[in-house]
Amino acid sequence: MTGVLIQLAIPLVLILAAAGGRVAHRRRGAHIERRRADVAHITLSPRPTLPGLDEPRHGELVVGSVVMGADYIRQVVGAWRNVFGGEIRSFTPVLDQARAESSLRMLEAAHAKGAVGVVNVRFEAVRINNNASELLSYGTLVY
Amino acid sequence: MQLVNTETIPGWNITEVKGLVSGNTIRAKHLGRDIGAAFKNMAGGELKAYTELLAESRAEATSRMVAEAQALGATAIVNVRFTTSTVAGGAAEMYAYGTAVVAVPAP
Repeated sequence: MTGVLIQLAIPLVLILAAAGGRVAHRRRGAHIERRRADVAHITLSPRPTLPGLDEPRHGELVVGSVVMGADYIRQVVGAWRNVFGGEIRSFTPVLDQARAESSLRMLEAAHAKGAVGVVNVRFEAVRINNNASELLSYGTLVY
Repeated sequence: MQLVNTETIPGWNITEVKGLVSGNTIRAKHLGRDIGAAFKNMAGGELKAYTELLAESRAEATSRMVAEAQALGATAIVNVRFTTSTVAGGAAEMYAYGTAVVAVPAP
């Protein structure tokens, strides 16, 4: 009896993890969209200067970061993809969203300091463990 | 101390270059946090404990770099770069580097 219960419990936990992961992913996406409106006026540029903005100002760095992991089902799908090669579509949205979150945090920090732009923006990703990665965004504030 | 990741600071003239300055720190994760994160990994999403840990270590590396620049008599660091690497099982190194300079307001 206990054996049957355990056998039923394992797939149930996996299905719940997958469903929960999907819902949480979608909710985070909606949250990012809502916050984006508040910082929409800040210009982001990977170039070192923004035309028309060159008055003397105090130079300042701004950083945004997030450590994000994929849910269990995405990991399993990703592991399978490693066998045959090709794009790991289950990871693409996770990293995409994590980068959006990290650049949004950078923009929110810029907004809090009253900046109108962030120049020389750099994005970086670092693997933390088998599943989690840190997405880092940084740049220089322009007023 | 002004920190920028551009080569110049708009409105300021760089009068002297003091040389390359850097700061680093290697942090290990707390075991309790690690176990918590392993559970969190099942559902995916942000691992807040790690985000905070890395942000703290990056701030530490930056302040070491700033201290080095101050010791050289610099007033600004230009071209600041951050790198992160994972070393020996679960520990991460944060490294910040840049060029220490003396900057004066442009006439």
